[in-house]
Amino acid sequence: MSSEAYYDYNATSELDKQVRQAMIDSLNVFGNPSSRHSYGTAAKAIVSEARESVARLIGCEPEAVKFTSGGSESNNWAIKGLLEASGHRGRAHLITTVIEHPSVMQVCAYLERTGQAAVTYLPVDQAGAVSIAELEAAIRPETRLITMMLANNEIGTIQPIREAALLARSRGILMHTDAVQAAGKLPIDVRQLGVDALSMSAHKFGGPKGVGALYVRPGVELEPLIHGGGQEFGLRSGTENVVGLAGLGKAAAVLDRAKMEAQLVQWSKLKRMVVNRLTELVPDCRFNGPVDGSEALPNTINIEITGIRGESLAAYIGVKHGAAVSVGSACSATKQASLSHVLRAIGRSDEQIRSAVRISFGPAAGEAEMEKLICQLAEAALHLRALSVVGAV
Amino acid sequence: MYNEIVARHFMDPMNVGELASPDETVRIGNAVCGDTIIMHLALEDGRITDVKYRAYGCAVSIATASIASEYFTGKELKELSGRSNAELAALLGELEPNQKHCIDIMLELRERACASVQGVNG
Repeated sequence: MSSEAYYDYNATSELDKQVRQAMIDSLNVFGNPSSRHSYGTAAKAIVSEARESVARLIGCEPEAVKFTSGGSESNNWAIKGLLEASGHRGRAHLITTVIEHPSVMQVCAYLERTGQAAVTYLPVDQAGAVSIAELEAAIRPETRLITMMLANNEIGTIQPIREAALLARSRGILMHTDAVQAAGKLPIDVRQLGVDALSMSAHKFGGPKGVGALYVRPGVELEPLIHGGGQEFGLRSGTENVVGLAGLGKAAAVLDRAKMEAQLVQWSKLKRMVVNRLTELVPDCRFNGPVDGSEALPNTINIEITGIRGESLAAYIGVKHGAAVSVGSACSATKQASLSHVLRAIGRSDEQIRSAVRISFGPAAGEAEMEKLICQLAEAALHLRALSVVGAV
Repeated sequence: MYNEIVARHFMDPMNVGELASPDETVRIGNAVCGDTIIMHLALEDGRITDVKYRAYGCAVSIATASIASEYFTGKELKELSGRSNAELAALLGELEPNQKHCIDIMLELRERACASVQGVNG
């Protein structure tokens, strides 16, 4: 399938051409990375190279990178594994936010349900940002862990992770960040960020699905996830996903700080253009999350168009133009449950959430392509508003 | 995804608008999902002679309003009320599980349209 009309890069990205080739090449390497003969050595080389590339991407030593099956596993492992290894006695306390990914929210709910931890869910402001003062106020003597996403998948808001990590360190609390949406889009240096753990996933930045990584700062204890033959430094046993790691490694290797910074400049320009043009062409539209500057991922635009269902808007441009965007609420018999918790957290009503769509673009996005999408969205809005009950009858 | 019937009616809906002086107005609102349809009916001797509507909702619910408007037009109320639920549901084509609530919308439109007319007929 062509990615020409694909504007859902925060859901997943297409496989980078070099990544695809690296994966194809790795299919010929069938040895077990744990074997000591030449077949094993060749496979081990792919795994080691991937670890080095990921380490370079986030600014750490290779040994600090543990491979996983993706973002959800990294988040699950980090929260449970850090908490368990922190040696707390009795019920621990952890702090997170109301706009985390389900792979964080559901782990927190699990820990609460099983009596292992009490959890504080920090609110966010209308832009989706957490207040450091509120974080500080939420800290208790038994707080062991703070987990906070770096960039939000729905509205793009970037959280003050450095400040949060500094605060955590000064209080002897562990700090984890879910950087699944940020890695490969924003230049990340884990030493500067100051976090103890960071989750990432290959398929969000040109890599394959089913493979990711968890960074754990050297010296920080982490409980093993899978006991067995001792792979991943004895923390996650099981023969490595060599093909997946060839892909993750290449996806990380093709990126560098300069490339990501240039991409951010281009994305910011495109985001301003889309916001300005849609504001001109579509009356009564509104943007969720920060629109400008470094406060949000510039590839992410969340728009509400009054009087129109986001689902209908997405359906219209999907059927007519093959365009793919994401919606704030999925159509289902139990719609209440499917409304975006992120949009609710920033104060949007059920109706407003139902009218939201998310546009998220990738590395190849250009002005001509965005202008095409803008016109498609404006045309769909015009068509659907002409049918709508709102303001009519 | 959307079946061909739904896609056609959603992309190019029939009978959109209002009647200047409708004989009956049917309003359907789903409190859970927020779908809203306001349908105007023109009636003559127990027959639906014209249908217009406005719709706010998901793609399938908009298509449902269009399909219903096309089907209702020209029908005698007695005939419409005698149609089986399965027959009305079939008008929407094959739906995915999360689209099936639109069958209820179709049935409710029929029920309300016929109820209002039975009232007229005394």
